[in-house]
Amino acid sequence: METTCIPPQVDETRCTLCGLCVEACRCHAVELGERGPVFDCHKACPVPGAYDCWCLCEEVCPTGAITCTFEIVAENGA
Amino acid sequence: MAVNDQTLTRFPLFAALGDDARREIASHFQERTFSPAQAIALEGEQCRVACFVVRGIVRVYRLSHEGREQVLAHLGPGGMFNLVPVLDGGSGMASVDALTEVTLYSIPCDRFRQVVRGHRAVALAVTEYLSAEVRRLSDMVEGLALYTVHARLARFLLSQSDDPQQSSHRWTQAEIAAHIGTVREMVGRTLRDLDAAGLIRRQRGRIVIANREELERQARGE
Repeated sequence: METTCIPPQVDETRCTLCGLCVEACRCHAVELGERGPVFDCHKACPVPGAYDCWCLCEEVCPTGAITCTFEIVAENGA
Repeated sequence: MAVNDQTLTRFPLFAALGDDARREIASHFQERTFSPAQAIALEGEQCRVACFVVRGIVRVYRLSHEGREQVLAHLGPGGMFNLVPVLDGGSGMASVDALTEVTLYSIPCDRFRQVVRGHRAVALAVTEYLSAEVRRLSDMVEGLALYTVHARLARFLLSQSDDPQQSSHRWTQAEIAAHIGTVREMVGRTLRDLDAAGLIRRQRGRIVIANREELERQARGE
């Protein structure tokens, strides 16, 4: 199974710089930049290459500025 | 732009037509292209054309006054929309936008009605298509009205993992919420609940169905 993780996408026009995403990220992969959150999931992932978090950053964002994408596959699916 | 009459054979409505009839009907179609996120049709507006998807994916949805979406369908090549308003003369039933680069074939309402009246095979295929849509939308109503978010999300995950056309589509929680009639936050919480129960897991940017049998039980509301 290939790594298909794509870092969260940020719509800076929606971001209010509230910082909830920074608080929520269990991997400590996000910092607040001048115009919105900056993600470094690749370096911060506790299990390198696992990308197995549930993107709480997206869930807590009050303005819907953060979007995580994922495929849905069966066990052993390609 | 004129259309290729052979392409019409991809659509069940025209598959049974002879070459001459299909060529004549093709002369009434126009090809139109749309960019990702471009609006194609708006709910409530007067409908002028029936549309057939040749390339790409469109999203068909209803929007509430509060801005909540309910996705009715994603249509790929071979899909069609606006048939109901074309046939009953009413306004557009749903909004439609392009998810990808999209190529459509469109035919004016009056021409399409002439085609239906003039070709028994097309009329029968339209009836079969609308019957299937009644079944599909009835199932959707059942899911929205009678099942919990847990069950609806389980049904959605199973259907997507079973659909080879969707296997490479990258979903967002907001998109899933619009499909199953809830809000983004609820999708996130429910996904984590299913993960905690061992039914799914997040792995390498994917949601993996880890316990299909139990997920199917959840989907049935058991």
